[in-house]
Amino acid sequence: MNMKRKAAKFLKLLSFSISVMLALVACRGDVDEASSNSAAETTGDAGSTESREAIEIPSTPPPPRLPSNGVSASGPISVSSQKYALPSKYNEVPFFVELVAAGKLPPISERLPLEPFVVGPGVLNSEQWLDWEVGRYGGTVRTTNLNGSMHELALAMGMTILRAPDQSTKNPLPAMVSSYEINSDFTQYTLTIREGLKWSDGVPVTTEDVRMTFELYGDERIYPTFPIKARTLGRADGPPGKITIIDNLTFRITFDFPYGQFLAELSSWIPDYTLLFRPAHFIKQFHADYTDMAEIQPILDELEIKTWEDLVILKDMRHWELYRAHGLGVPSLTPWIAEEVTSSVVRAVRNPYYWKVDIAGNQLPYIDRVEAEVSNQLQSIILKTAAGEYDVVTSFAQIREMPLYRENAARSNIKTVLHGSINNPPILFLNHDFDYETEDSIWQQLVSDPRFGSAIASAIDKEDVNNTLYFGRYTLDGFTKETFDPQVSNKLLDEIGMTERDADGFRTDPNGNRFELRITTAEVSPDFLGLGELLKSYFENVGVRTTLDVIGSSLFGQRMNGNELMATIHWSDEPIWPPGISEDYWPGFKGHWAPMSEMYFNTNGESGRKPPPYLQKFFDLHVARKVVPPQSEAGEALYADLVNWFSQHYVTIWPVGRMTVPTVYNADLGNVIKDGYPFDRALDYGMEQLFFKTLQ
Amino acid sequence: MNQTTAHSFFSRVTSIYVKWREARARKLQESLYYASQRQLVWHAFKTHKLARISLVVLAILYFVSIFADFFAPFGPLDRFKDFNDAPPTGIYFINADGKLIRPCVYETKRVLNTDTFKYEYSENPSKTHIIRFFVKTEPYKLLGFIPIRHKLFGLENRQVPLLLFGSDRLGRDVFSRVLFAGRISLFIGFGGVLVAFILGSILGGISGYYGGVVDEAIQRVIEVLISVPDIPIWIALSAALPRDWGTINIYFAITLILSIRGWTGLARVVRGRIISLREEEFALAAKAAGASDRRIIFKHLLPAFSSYLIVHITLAIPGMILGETALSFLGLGIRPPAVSWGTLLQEAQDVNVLANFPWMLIPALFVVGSILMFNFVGDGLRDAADPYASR
Repeated sequence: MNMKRKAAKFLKLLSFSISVMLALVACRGDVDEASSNSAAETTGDAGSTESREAIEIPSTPPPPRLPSNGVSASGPISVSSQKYALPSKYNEVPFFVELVAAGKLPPISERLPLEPFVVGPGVLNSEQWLDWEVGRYGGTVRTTNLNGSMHELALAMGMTILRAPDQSTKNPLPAMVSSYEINSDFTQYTLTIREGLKWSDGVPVTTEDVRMTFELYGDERIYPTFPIKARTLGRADGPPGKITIIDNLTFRITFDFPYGQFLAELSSWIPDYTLLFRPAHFIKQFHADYTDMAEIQPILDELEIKTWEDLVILKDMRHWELYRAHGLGVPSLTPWIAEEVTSSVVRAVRNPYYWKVDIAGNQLPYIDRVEAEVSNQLQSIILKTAAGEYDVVTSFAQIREMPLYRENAARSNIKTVLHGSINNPPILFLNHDFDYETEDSIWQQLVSDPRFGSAIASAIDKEDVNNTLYFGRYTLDGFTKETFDPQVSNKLLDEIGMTERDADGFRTDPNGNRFELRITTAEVSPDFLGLGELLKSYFENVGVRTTLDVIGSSLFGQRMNGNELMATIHWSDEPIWPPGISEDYWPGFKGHWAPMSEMYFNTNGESGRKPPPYLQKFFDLHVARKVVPPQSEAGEALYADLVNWFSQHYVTIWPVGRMTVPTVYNADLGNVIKDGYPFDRALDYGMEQLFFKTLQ
Repeated sequence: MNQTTAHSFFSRVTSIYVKWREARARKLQESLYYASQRQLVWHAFKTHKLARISLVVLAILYFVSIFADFFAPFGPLDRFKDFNDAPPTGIYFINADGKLIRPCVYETKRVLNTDTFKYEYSENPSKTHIIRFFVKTEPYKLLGFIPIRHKLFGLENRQVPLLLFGSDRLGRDVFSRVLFAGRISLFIGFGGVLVAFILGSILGGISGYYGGVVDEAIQRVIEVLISVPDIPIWIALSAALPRDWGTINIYFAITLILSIRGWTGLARVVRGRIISLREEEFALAAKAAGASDRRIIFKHLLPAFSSYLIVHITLAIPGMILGETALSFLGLGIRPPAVSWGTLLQEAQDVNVLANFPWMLIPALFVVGSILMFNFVGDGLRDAADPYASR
């Protein structure tokens, strides 16, 4: 048995190293091809030759590429300090005074860690975007969510193990841990849990929780596959990270190859703390290896669940499940814990054991309760927001409603802040794998020629899109560098052979047959349709016949997975790609641009399409990026190469650059971010730092 | 003296008039005796004022939609880039000096107030653009084949917006779009209604007239068909039909396919009527006289309930207009960029429109109006179709 396992592991390792080698070979092939095929690469070649060295990944193990900036100038990283000194005393929360007096809750000094995480100016948000002030205890924040999706609330609860301000993962401070150490080649991460850090039920967090988490990850009964983010290089075929328990508070995670991206995972709200910490004492109650089945059986009967494994799966949850009915009573490390979940409202109350304090010694959060109303109508959310019935609304407010919010500002006592977003406005995805199985596919011939993408991009009147749909408040940058010039567009289309016109006056394909650019979209947001109609008019203006197909989102998903869509309109998370928080530039994510090549990559060539060299270059860059922390010098250089690749190969075409979206606040709330802040999401505003200046 | 002459003159005139009226009524009365059924129906219909007016309005609506190219000042997709979400353009008869002039629009500029996020408009009365009839435009083909280079009305400078009903989100003229949308909304359901009508009357007729096994078979088929839910089929079909057909063709195909189910209601009514009519004396007499089945059905039975069929059709058409509007509004029917009243309303379904751009709801008036008209016409026809009934 053991032998078998070892053999399997060896095979896995072998296949991984082979895949890396293959990637290298493909990359080399690309170099040759690029030089012989220089006509196709007319722009930005200077940048790519320089970066090519960085792309190459030799076979096992990849060499440590040491960044030379602050993160790990030379040798290992080790951080154990805080930005602010510990406050001299802690102020008891009025909300808990009675409970403490009655002896039902320990006093504040016993609830907090020995050295809590201290929040002051520039800790949760950089000082440029927030004039941080010490707040005051009390109040209820009313917010909302659509169809019980929990979006806003759940995201606000993504608490990270390390913390850098805003949406950054650069030089993070230890947050749930008191110190962290990374060795020089990013294979060993040693963390020490904050002494006295407690779950929301008062039980201390120890290395047993981490050990339990990894035990669950490796247990095929619970996790059919080991979670990808805890695997080396964050790859499906990467060897799982190994855990070493050093003492009660210190543990080490070891990877087989350099995995600098893991630093970003530790600082990202997407995997959040549940990546490493699950409440062992809580889960063990339901786990047959730790608790007698006789004790588990009544719980199973009550919940009408068949096996204890299913029970563990239900109770072992990520942070976004905490605010659902089955998340009630699950210990967490979040600022508020759910106390009531119904179909119409979710109520959460402050966590008495929350581990952050402000510089004046107040335990965060300032706000006692959060109440999220469940709505099933976006329009009713907008109306209620304008009427001031919510205190914080961000995901559901759009710039188109600005006249409404501004008009009602005084009457409803609301304040609208305009800021950036972690999402992009909708962009056009050209599917580079569409129709690849057809021999002499015209689409393949066109889409692999950068001149076609450039022609499409030059046909788009960015300024018009911006003024028409977004009050001219979005930016015009983005990955597409082309400016609006129908003449250039026409010239490029002529150059690639689309010179003939058919009876309707549209261009034919280079063989003289009818050509049609089919754009498909699901109406995720109201501006998708408007953009689609604008794009159609721009493309037809340069003679490219365009059809716009609007279908339901489930059908959209199906067709996308079936590689049936030529071009799609969707958004992605580009603003948080640089810090490595999101990776949805990935070819099969939001709007597909090469789903079959992605399948080939994920299955190590078992199925899908062997990417042509120019697409292979993307995968090489992607793998290379994982080796170093994303915001280290090397990481940033690799990201620049990636952006460059996107700009040159037109897999995504950007009608406008970055978004401007409103967040509607109760005007009485303090510690609110400023206009122009580059991101959104309640989390990085740090919902825990909000407070009411005058209590209602 | 003077008075008496006047009086006698007056009484003479009156008596002539009375005589003329009597003669006319008599003539009419006489004509009624040997008027055909069709003439009787038409006569009765003409006396129904509301129906008559509605018919005229509908005729105009259909006419204008068919020739929307000519009546609409702009194309359905023509945009005024700097005038999206703009309110209806003001039309003036007075220029800056207070002089009365031909209808015109003032030159308008607008800026975005970056604080309130509202557009502020400033009109300049000293710069006017006269609205002209039969204004020259670029040559185009009316109905796709009649070369023409005039529009009914418009401004000489085509770059100046003349937005009778305001503009939509992308700066397109709502008035023009409403007219073009009528083309789809008023016509697209005809095919389905026609197929359902033909199938319904033929199968219902056969079922009622012959009875027995044929009747049993048709009735069971009907029962199976009416148990099938509409909207899921709709969703499935809109996904299953070939994508390169385009949204309008797909919609048309679905209405045709659904009419395969739509005939069932009509068939049942026809069957019931035929069963009762075939036992009537005139039908039995015809049969006894040796008339063929065909002759009995078409000469004796069909005229006896044709009034019902006519009314059924006039009421089925507004049903199909509403159906298109409802399905497109839900996002299941016709989708933009195709223009129909349903899609125009779908674009208008948000709070912003109610609060800031109410003119985008004007298409709703056309939907409501045309359906009311059809119902009035149907009402008039129902009254008229049985001209012997006492009122």
